[in-house]
Amino acid sequence: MKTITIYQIVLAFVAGIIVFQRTIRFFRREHSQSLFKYLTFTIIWGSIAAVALFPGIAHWIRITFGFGDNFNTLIFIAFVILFVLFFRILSIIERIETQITEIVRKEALKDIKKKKK
Amino acid sequence: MITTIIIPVFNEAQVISSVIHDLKQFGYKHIIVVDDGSFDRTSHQAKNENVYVLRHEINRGKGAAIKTGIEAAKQLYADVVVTFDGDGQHDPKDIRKLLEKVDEGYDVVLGSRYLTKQHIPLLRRLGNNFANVFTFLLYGIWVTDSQSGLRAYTKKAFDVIDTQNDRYEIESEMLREIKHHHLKYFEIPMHVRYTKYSTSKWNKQNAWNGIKTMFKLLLTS
Repeated sequence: MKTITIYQIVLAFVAGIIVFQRTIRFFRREHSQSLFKYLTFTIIWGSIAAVALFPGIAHWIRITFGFGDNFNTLIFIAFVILFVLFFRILSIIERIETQITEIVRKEALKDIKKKKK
Repeated sequence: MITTIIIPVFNEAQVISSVIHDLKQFGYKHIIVVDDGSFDRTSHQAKNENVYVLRHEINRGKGAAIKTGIEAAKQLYADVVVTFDGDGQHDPKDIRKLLEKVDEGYDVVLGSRYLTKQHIPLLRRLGNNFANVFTFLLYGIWVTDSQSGLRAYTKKAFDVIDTQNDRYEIESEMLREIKHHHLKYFEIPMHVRYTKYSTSKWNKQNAWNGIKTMFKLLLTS
């Protein structure tokens, strides 16, 4: 029987807590907790917990989908995609921040127009 | 020549009245206070002093507040705008020195804490030196106090200067614009009053904010 290491337990525990919290928040119908968000979180963290507890799953995916020795390349591509997404989100936030400032400024300047009249 | 003083403020109810009062004593009548979403009585106090008070309904940062102030100054036909901190650390006496240089033909005049001997906390001094070097490497313009908030801009300057960042990055961004538009600039020594109040405020530029500022400048340079 294969032994389970501490890091596997910790990872599975953290993933379990996150899925648990998300489930509670979803069923409490908390603001901004959509079904899509809930399922995404559950699938991602559930997979992490599953792979942590049963590393054989990763091997099974490799064999089934025929990645063979190119599994590292797949991980690399995943990182690239994550970085692209990260910078895309950063630029969206930046744009929204600018728009908020513009609205706030317009509102503030209304006062000066009133005072000028 | 209409000189408009712009004071960006955030939660300065304790001192804003005396800051405005001091400025008025030195004869500056055109004052715009931009309250950047304070949740104390800053706006109320400033309004009592009979100056223009503009309010950002939510906090957008010093850069955003200065930009709002400049937009307002344009609408009020200002010839020169002077940015002045609202926490009482700037001395209204220094404004005259800025304006003298404007009269000599400079487009932008920058106050500098490091051109005269005075006590400045060591950490602040180190942080500022670092910011000077960083600004120089990024924009190729060397000044002795890249983070100074006391500055004068002529109409020629504030008409062309265009900043994008909302927070403390504005001080360095202004220098980028000076360089980009080939504006004539000069640094004058300024006196700064580090009171217990001005150094203890939590929203001031600290080490962590400094790192965030540098990161944003890198992203937008």
